[in-house]
Amino acid sequence: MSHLSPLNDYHKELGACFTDFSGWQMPLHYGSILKEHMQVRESVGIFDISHMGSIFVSGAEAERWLSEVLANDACSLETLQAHYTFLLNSDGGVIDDLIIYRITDETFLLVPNASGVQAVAEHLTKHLPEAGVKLENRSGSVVSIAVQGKQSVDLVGSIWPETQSLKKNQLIAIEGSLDAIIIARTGYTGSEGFEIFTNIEQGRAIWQQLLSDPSAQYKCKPCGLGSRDTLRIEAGYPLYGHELNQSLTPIQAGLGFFVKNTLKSTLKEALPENLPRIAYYKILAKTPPPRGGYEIYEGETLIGSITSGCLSPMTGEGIGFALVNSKICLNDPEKYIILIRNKKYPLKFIKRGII
Amino acid sequence: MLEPKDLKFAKTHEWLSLEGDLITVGISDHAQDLLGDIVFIELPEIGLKVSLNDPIAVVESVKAASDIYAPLEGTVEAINEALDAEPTLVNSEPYGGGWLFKIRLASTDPASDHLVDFETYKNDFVE
Repeated sequence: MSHLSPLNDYHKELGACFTDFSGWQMPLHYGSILKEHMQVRESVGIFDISHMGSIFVSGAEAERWLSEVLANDACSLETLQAHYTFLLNSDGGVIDDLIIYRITDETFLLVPNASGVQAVAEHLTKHLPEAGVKLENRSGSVVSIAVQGKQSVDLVGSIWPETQSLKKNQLIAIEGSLDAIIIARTGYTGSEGFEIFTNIEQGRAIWQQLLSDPSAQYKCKPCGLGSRDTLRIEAGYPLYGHELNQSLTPIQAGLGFFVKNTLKSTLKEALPENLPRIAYYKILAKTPPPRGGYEIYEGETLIGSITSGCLSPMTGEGIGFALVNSKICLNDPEKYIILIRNKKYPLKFIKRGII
Repeated sequence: MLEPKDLKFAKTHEWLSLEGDLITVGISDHAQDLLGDIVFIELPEIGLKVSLNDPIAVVESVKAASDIYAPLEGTVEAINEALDAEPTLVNSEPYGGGWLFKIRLASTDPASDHLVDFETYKNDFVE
């Protein structure tokens, strides 16, 4: 039996085509992945991301403890700021990637992937200190909505004017009638946007409010996980289970920036030249959509395979991530090829993201 | 635009229309709806000899790649060049501008028991 989002009935009314995602029945699209992609790039769209986890950590020792257990330094995180971080296993592999939001000096919201909630909650519970930290896993009873696109600032600002001054990774907590509404200037699309977290009743009202838009000024549309995936690939963001897993360190995944310095040097020392790593590619000819598992060659030598890919709805190019078995050269248009149904297409590796 | 009631259907969701010994082949409205936005189409070479149920084309949506099978035996005589620039024609006009290829049949009276009319296709192969 899959979990249903608290917004599931709204999705049905909107004619969503559903997919199973990490045990959740979530909208794949509401008619067209491509249109929803362009909706975000050109105006504004909203995504139900209530399948993602919501773990609240609070207490006098919360900051110190989170700095120990997570890969980024929670001490460096100011109140009303968010950052990207990882929970690592003892080998430095990624148990999950998550965003941590500092709501007050002593209260943090951790948002792991739907697939990682259980592992993250178990790991944290196991390492919880005897006193000074309270852990509350509210996953499943929080409505999370991503409002993404260049018009998101105006749309969200028309409801909560205080959000207009938020800069990237800043957040505010607004007192709702029932519960706080946390609004953060974060997202997973590469376009401007917000993520909103609140209780179910208020979340349902906010979803409807964002879509109602009485002045028809913003024409906000619902978007599903299909476009969420193509948007994050264009933006160069990794997805757990594809570019991140228990046997790759954040350094191998190319995400060392989000690891505290003390830990980074330890992880780096353990990364010889020939360890597999994640790279971002662009195919240099008209190509079928690159899909997971397609092989990449340097000359005749197999050097890796695709972990994620799509034809960019913005440019039409084949783009995405690959796992390669050693260091690769960036921006060399002649060295590499991708094999798709026995046809060769030239490919180059580039700095991640094309938008 | 062709009328589905005038077409024959394969259980693998291809449709075909017959004019003399030339058939035009596409995919059903139901199939394009299942696939979603079509972003790439690989068509057979003109002149290719095809047997019944050979996978001879690939229709790819954002999420999936789907093989298209030859519904009868013959030789590929034409392909829809417009799909190269505009693959979404298969979504918008599955029974018209979104046709895939034409096959000159090997026999003027091919065995076609595996093909069904639109009503049967809808009732038996569309859930």
